[in-house]
Amino acid sequence: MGWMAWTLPTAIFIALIILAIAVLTVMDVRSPPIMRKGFLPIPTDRGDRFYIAMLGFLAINLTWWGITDISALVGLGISLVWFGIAMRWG
Amino acid sequence: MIKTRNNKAWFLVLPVVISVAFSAIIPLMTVINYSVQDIIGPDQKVFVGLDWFKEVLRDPDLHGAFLRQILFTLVVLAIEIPLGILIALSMPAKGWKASLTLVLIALPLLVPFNVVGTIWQIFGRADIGLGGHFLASLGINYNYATNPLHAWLTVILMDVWHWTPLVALLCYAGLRSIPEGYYQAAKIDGAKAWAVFRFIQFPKLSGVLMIGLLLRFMDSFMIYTEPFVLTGGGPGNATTFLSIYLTKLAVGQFDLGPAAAFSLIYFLIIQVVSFVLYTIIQRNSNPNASKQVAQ
Repeated sequence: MGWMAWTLPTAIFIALIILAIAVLTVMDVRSPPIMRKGFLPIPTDRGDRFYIAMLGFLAINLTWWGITDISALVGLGISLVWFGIAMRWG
Repeated sequence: MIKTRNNKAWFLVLPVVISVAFSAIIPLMTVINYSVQDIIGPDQKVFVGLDWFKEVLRDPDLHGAFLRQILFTLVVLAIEIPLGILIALSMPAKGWKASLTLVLIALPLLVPFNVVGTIWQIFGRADIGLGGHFLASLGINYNYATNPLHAWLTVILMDVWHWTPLVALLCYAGLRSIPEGYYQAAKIDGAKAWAVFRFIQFPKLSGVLMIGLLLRFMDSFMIYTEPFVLTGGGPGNATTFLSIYLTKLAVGQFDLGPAAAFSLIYFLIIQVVSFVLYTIIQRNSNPNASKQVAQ
């Protein structure tokens, strides 16, 4: 595994994504997802919202890193707020 | 009461999951790891955090490559989609002529990417190429190796030649699937050719057109081999698109960290645009979906 050049932060990041997918799979089996229409322009189920929220999460962070030198934690905070809003009301 | 589904079928997907894990997921995880480190050698790595992302996102060369890429994609889509529709509309519907036309139209799709680049490289040369020689005989000093405009025209023409057949074949298949009754009804109503296209053919083509648009967007946005063989990204940086820039960064300069960070940004852009197009396809295929969901 040395050739994969693992670091602790990237390992945590990837583990969180894998964990989220695993949790979504378990939830999918236990309670099948229901399509609903929120503020997003399309009807979505739980997995769709997670995917859209993740894309937005990454885009917000990348934009933050690209345009400002203010701490990346602020960008992370904004993206987490977006993530919560998209999952709850998307 | 919802019955528990039989999930044994998921085991049949296992070989694909394993194959994708080795061919895509593990390399992607490696790229994520590389993107936060300065890779000096096989066992020499320094953690740099988000530095590569900041550097790459503020790199004017990358901004240039990105704008060129967007422009290239928009131009080829603006040409290939209408041209593909036009070709499909003018193709014979039945008989040996239809078969012959289909084979001839499909030929460019069978040519490997690097061969396409070589064909157009030779074709455009004034000394040995037919196209270049013809233009020279008209008094046009055509040279894609030194003139950025000529390089762009050649790359666009090459892509249009290579990929318009895909759009044409998709549209042709879409046109053939329209029931004859629609045309008969239009004939009874005295509809002109434009009205038939506007109200029957185009709406029925929208599904395949979106698939064509999605495929052509992804392909044109990742274009590498043809312009690399033709111009090598030049003259200057005139035809340095994102993939060429990425390759220069990763293989030419061996800057694996910035190249990895850039790859992830590139991946995200393609994900976002493909998702938007895919959503439009889904909405077109089931326009009443939003009315059927739980509020």
